Amino acid sequence: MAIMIIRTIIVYFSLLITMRLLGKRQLGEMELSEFILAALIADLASLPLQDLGIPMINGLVPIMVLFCCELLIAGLSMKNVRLRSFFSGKPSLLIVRGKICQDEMHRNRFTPDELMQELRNQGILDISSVEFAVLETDGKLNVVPFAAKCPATAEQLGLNVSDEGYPFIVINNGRVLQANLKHLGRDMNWLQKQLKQQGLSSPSQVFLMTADSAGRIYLAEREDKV
Amino acid sequence: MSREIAAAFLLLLLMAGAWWNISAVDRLSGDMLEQLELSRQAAEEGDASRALEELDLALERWLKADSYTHIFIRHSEIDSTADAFYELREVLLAEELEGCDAAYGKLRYHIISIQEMEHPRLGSIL
Repeated sequence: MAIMIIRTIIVYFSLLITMRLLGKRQLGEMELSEFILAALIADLASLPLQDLGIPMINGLVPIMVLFCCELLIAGLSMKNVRLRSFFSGKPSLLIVRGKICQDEMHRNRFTPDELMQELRNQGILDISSVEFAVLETDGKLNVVPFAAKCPATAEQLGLNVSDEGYPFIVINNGRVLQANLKHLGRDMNWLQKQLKQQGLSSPSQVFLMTADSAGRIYLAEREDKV
Repeated sequence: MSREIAAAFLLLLLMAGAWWNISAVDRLSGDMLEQLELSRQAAEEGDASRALEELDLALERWLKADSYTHIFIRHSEIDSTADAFYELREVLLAEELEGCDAAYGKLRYHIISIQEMEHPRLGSIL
């Protein structure tokens, strides 16, 4: 058991350092330590299931050790900025004021093709329109276009638009979500009134109903087959 | 912070469990090796029935620890140790004392292997 714990800790930190050296591109949308945890746990959990000759504890103890390591690293990283940048890395600026930072690209093993692909994914075809492109610690590329290339906002155009509010789901597949009704400052009487206006008698006849603070309503009746 | 403290506590608990496991396996294998040595000495003196008695005490100790061994030791190791016990038993029952050294050696090797498997050493970790 002691060997198992020591081995798990060694494998965890080896993977953490290896993945850290490999760079952010390998991560996708997870933080580095989360990625390692996911990769290891999936394999460890299946070990005693695949081979009944291996005691269950050989799969469970390493999972518990990994869980503790992850919690400790996450907690310590929150307290200490240096530790956080050591374990999770720092965001990298790949484009600054329309100019590609080749050193950063090289450091993150990011090829021009991949950069172009990421930009195209975000609807940007011209690098010179990008003021900043930041490769985040979870491997995502965030792009900030030059102000002149950004779509104009209603405020910039001097238009007076009302705040539409956030639409809450009020009825989900015939079930009334009381908490959302409360968020909207409405009650069952209001809901019954709305249903009556739509020619319906009960929430069970509704597949989906949303409402926002401005009073806008979307309603889809339930079909018999659903 | 309480979650981190709980994680550190759990990690320490696991370490303590590992330490307990080492001492438990040491006790079990130590008892069995001691009994095995008594059996081997009796066999050396030509007393097959006493050798068998001493061996049965070691086997009884091993079988009594069944619930522990099945949780902490690989089942393949448990099977090979049990096989080695019964092989030696057969030799002693047949009173073939001249050729029993190999069977004693095999059983001894399996017991020591179980003991060493739990001890953290550079070789066993890497």
